[in-house]
Amino acid sequence: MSAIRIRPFGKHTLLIEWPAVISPEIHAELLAYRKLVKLFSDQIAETVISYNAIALHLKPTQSPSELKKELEETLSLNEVVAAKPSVRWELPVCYEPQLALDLETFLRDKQLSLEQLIQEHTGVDYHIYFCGFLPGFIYLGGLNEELHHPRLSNPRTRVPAGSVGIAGSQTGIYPQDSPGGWNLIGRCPVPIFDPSNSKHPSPFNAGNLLRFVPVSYKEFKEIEKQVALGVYVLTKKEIQ
Amino acid sequence: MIEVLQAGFQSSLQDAGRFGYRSYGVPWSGPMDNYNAGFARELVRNDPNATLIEFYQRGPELLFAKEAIVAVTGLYFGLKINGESKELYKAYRVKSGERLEIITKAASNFGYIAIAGGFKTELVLGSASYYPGITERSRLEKGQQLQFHEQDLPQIPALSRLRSLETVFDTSEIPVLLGPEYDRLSEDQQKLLWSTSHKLGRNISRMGYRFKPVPNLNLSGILTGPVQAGTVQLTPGGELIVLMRDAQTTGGYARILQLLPEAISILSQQLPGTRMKFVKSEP
Repeated sequence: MSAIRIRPFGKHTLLIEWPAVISPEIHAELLAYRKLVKLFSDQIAETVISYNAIALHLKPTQSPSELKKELEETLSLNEVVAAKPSVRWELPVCYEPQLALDLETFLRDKQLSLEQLIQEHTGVDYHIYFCGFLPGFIYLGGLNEELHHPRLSNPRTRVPAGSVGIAGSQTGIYPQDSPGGWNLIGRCPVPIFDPSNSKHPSPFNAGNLLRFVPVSYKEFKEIEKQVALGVYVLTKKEIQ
Repeated sequence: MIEVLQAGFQSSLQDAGRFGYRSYGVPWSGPMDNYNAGFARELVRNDPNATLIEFYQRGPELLFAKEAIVAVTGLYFGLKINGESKELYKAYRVKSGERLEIITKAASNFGYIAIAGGFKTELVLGSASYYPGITERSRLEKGQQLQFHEQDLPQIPALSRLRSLETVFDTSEIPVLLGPEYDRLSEDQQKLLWSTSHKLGRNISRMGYRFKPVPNLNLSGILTGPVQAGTVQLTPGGELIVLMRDAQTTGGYARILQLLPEAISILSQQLPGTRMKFVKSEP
């Protein structure tokens, strides 16, 4: 396993960091380590992860420096066995200008045809790293370099929920209506964050894979109807 | 029941916070100033997770359709019940048909209205705290009806007035610990950080408080990582952003300092233009 650094981050939080790179391998180590840390869950209130870090927010009476000692003494890094992704989600996306405000500008700026964009955006298994930025927003890795594009110079005050965007080297889905500066290239008809579901507000787990599947405007509308009726089920595939 | 006649400014309902969902990108929320929120709850004998109203700069006007016991806290606000001036930091019985009105006497940030039993509202992800995209409303609105948990109203105890908290907030020092990226500051930058009286800008909200840039004090961004309330971020443009209760769970700016927990409440009540120094505290 890679070298890690453990140190307190404020009075009630312990920060565990891997080298600052976006890599599925490092992230898999981090997830394996997070599993081991569950041994100390009597001390931990909440866990937040990112590409290369775990923040353990401790219960009020616990001390981060004590837990650091315990982690270093008890957890042998050799026990950390990184697992390969075992789940792939498929998320329908409609790439149509009436649902994606920046689609035409994006294609013009990038000198791409709509077919090329769809092929490049849907032809990849994206790695789900973590949730952050907005409730339910998932950070995805693996966007084709051809599609990298700077964010808008003037962010919008309102981006509709389900919008699929590109900013820099990132692609993502807006879980709810919110302000934002990403180039909007498509729209997903399935809500990806449901605050009324307190057990699983988001279906995705860090370490899962995600693939976008292109749908027509007609299919988009059909899926929207199924979602409203509560009969739509996201496609989830077990992979080897 | 209570009708909101005037909503005030950025008024919201807050309980102790929304815990257990940070890994979904959901912030803790909760009152900006735990001192004043705590006092308001204590005055009406509520438990620490009871829901109260938080308002910013301008308070709401409420019409009571049921008798209730209420208390208002906050710095430099005034209170009127049915047109009659009343004191803050004191519990009152409000009768059915009476109006409660908050007066802004001088520039001030956050104030609280607690009601015996607590406000009754839908819990989303285990909490009543308003947050855009989580709760249906993110602000109190004019015309809104508020429910509260009715209970047998206790007699108001004689010793129900608490000392005002003004002295707690009358400080120009913010106690901090070093943040994960503090070491990335050069020696000169570290000196500058500690020696400067940083000026709080106009841009303050439940998400973050921004201090004016200081020449030569800036850092490039980091690979997005965990942040929390009280994290002091330094942007490439030199702004110091102190994250507050509604801040997102991860961020891409260098995290140079971390406020002590109680310092978050104290900072929350500082006005734009105030100058403050960060003071290193023992871990």
